[in-house]
Amino acid sequence: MRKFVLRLVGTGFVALILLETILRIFSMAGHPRPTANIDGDYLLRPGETGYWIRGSAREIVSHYTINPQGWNSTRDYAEDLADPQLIKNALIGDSYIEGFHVNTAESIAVQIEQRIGNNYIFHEFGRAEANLVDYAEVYNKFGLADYCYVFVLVNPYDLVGQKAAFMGRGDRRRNDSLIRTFYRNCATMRYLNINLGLNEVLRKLFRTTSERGSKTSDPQQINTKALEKFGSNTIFLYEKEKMPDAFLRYLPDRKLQIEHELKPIDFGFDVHWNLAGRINCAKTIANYISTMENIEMKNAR
Amino acid sequence: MLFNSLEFFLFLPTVFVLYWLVFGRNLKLQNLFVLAASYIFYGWWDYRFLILIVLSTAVDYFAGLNIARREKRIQKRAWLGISLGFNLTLLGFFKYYNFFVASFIEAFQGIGYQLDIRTLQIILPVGISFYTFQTMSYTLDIYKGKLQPTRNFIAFSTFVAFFPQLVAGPIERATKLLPQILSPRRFDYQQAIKGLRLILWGLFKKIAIADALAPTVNDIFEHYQDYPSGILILGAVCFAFQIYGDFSGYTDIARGIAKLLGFELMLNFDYPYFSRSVAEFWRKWHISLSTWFRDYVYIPLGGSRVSAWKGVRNVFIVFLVSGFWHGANWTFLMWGGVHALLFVPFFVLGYNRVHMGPIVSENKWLPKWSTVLQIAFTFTVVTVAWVFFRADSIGIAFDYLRRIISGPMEFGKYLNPYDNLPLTKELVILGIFITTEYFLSTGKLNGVLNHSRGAILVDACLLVLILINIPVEKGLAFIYSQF
Repeated sequence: MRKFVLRLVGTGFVALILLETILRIFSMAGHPRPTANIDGDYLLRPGETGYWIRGSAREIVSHYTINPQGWNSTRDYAEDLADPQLIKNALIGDSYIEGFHVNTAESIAVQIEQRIGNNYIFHEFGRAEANLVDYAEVYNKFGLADYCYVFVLVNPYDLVGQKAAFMGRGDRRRNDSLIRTFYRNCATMRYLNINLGLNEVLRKLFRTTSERGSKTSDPQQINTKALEKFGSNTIFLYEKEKMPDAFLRYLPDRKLQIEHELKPIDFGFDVHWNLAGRINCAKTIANYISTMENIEMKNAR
Repeated sequence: MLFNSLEFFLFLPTVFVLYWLVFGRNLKLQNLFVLAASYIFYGWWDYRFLILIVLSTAVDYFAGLNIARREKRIQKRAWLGISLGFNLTLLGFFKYYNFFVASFIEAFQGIGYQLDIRTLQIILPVGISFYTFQTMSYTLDIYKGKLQPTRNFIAFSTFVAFFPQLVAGPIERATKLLPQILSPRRFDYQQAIKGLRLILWGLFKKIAIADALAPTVNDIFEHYQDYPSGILILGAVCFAFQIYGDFSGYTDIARGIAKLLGFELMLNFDYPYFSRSVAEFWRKWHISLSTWFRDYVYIPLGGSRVSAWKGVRNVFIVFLVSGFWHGANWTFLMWGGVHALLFVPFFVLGYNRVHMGPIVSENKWLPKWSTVLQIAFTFTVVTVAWVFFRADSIGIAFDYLRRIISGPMEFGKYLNPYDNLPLTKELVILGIFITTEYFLSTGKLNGVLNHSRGAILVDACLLVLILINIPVEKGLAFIYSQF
């Protein structure tokens, strides 16, 4: 029995070394989001670049760049604001707008700019797990009322949010500890947790509830107070498949349905938009603006 | 709980440690512990299932004792009838009631009559097809005089509910498993190592082959009308490997766990896709079921020791019943019927016992071209039959096959619905798997596996391969646990 246990331990050890080696050589292990507490908001660490990796076999790989303001964008928003020639627009949303799943250089904002040109630029304000309370805070804190167009991507879950997930939640940024440092440097741990979702499986097994809670389909719970905080330059983006009519009725007239021409729009096991999904969103917005502003669209891929 | 679930990953080591270290010195306690673990395992699916298995155990335990005790044949037969009647009623009700009712209603609708018989919301108890057949083999063997009944109720209950093979086989015979349960077991290092490797190999087949191909198979069969014939062929071939990886993977895990606990279960799959004929295929696929039908249906009907047409009749009966055992749908009957049609020519011409030796001689690495062609042809006809097994209806199966023949032979750019990427990774792993199975079947890898350090590396590599192929979603239930 002892020999067998030693054999098990030995096999496990060799497997661990092999796995760590393979994960490092082929860069298969995901990395946690590089977060930061910026002005009391739970944003991303400015200046960070890296690769976003998801899936057990690196099915999703993309390059991200965090700008000086703490958003996943190739643009420096402060520099843009200082340039009066530029026509500023904004995109607000959750992880779909945060945009880690595709290269930052191919984000929705970049896709729109390529199609419209004419000095139209887009600032992206996306954070995972965000909701309408966050969106309203972003709109007000970053002076988006002065922007030309502000597109807010919403789904029923966002609309019923009552508590901010990242705006004013800088306390969520955890300090670096020894365990966290070890975790960040151990490809196997990150792979098991981030790529394979071990923490979620354990959570379900031991029936602990996540901070996010469960989705609701009750339109009576829509946060109408947060909705009122948006100005007249706001257009609410939605996907028809995800937005019941009961919720649509609460949105102001300024709403825009995303037309998904290119298919497939996601990564299969990960429902976030892939590049096709983001191009669809970009085309929808670009078409809207070009129609409203009578601009000829450019050819873009 | 599924074998490829986190719950089982915690369950098995706990059982293993307690089994050997706490209960290892007392056979009765050890068997009682295995029984308790088996009931926990089975009850994890649904605690209500336990009532059925306990009832089946009790009926067959007492039936077995009475069959042996009674002097007169008619009394023995009566008790055998009770055992078979109870088990077949159990199976018939839970598995086939709705099918028969629905078919009955449909048949009468066809001639203009509307019947008002309601189907029931019956939950199919997991593994019922397996443990009922296993317990029936016990009473049948006692009746035939091959086995003496056991008075040890705990041992018999353990035989019925033994968790490694409870849900999807292999269907063990009491003559083989019961003596192992009744005998003291000692921990054997080599047996445990082989068990561990079987578990790893089984998990690899289940996760890296079966689960990896499942989204593609589901998509192609559900939307077969939208795809050209090249993709339909891909779908059929993928299903052939999905069901093989799923079922043989499960059996390997079952045998591996049994070895860890000091038991030997029968080989259920002997590299069937390297068969040179359909006859050979049925000697190598789901061996425990085919031998069960041979011993308890085919031979009692007379087997081949009857007239030619009766022999053919017996073959058809066995294949049709075998097909029907797999599920309550006409497609399974059709699948059995197709195999009967494929098997009968070999049977009639006396070629069903031809390919008994290895596919390649010991001093050679590759088989002859004629053997390769035979294997390819057999795989093709077996895959065609699988279309009936997988399709939702016979009409769909025929339509699927018709579109393969008549449709444009294109493959196009097919994207795996799991990740919306081409199937490159899955097909490369499948290629490596087939090559490995070939070398395993021909014994060419024995040297590596018998070398201790080489074997550790092999096991470690298997573990890593399993981990990097785990799909990022909920574990897919084994196909055969539906039976």
